[in-house]
Amino acid sequence: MIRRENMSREKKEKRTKRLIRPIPYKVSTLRLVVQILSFIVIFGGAVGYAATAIVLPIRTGISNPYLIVADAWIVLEVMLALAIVPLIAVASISLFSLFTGRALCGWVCPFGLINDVFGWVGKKKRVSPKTSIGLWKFALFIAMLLLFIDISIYYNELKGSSIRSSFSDFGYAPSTFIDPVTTLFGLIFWYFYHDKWPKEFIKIFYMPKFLYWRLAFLAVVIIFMLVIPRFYCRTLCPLGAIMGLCAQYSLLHLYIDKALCDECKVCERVCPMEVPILDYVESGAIRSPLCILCLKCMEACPKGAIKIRFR
Amino acid sequence: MGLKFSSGRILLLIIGVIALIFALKFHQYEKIKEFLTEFNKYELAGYD
Repeated sequence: MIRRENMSREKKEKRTKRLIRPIPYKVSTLRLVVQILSFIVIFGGAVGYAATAIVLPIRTGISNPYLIVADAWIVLEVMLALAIVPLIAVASISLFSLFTGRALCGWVCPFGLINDVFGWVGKKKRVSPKTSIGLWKFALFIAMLLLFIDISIYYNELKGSSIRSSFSDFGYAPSTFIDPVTTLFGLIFWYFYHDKWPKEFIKIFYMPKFLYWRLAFLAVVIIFMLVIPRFYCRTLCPLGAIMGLCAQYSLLHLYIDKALCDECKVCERVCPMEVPILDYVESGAIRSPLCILCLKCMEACPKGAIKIRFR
Repeated sequence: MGLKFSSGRILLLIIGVIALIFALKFHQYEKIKEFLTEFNKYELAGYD
């Protein structure tokens, strides 16, 4: 009896594997092109573009001299530390999450592209959809903790009893202590490329505080990114976690047609964020905080049951 | 679409629009340009 059950399960798995069509390289190719173009435009200072005042909910940091748009999360943190209400960052996060959901994470974010590249290079290890949601909750917890620290700094700055120095050099942006994005796009750029390396080799010994910690943290995140697809976006990105919370109310979202879906699980197998898509068959709209609208599920569905809609 | 979704969307829209209007009123875009054009050590933690 048990043997028969095992055999039928194996047959089912084989059938599911057969159903995974090779991606026709239409939306995937378009997404890759958009990601690369966005990367070039975002760091457009290198090709002569001037800095704009645009704040986008993507992870780039703000200190790279070639940046032409700003990272909403770092803007929010730095403005709070300077005792300014970060209205421009709040507007960017709420309006983009309302109109586009987390689409910018999937299509525009430069660190998202880096996550994808490491995901392609490395070995893909799947986690269960339940664990995936757990990872997002962990990211949300980190985001809330950082926001609490930021608001405490803001409140004390307003009162005139600054506590910024208590956080050492991380007082302006506490998240940078555990943020591989600012290490990669900001710190490494300035320290190893811009003026100190290799001209003034000796200055490597006069390093910023916690340089090795930040480099080690970046290395650990890269190793995890090689194993788990979009590891940073799911587990550590504070902006992604907050966007995920708001994006559940987004006008732009994926829709699964109950009549067409035969629950073959192909969509769940190709999803880089491991969204439990079939949990949304009953309600229709896929309103997961993890969904970055990469459209891989839509492309892979053999029945064409998944569609994108704006309403 | 349920009441929960409608109210969530309206809340996000109101917060976003009001924040945007006041951000423009207080010229916060100038601060963003300053962040991007002038050297700042806010997120560099000790680099000088």
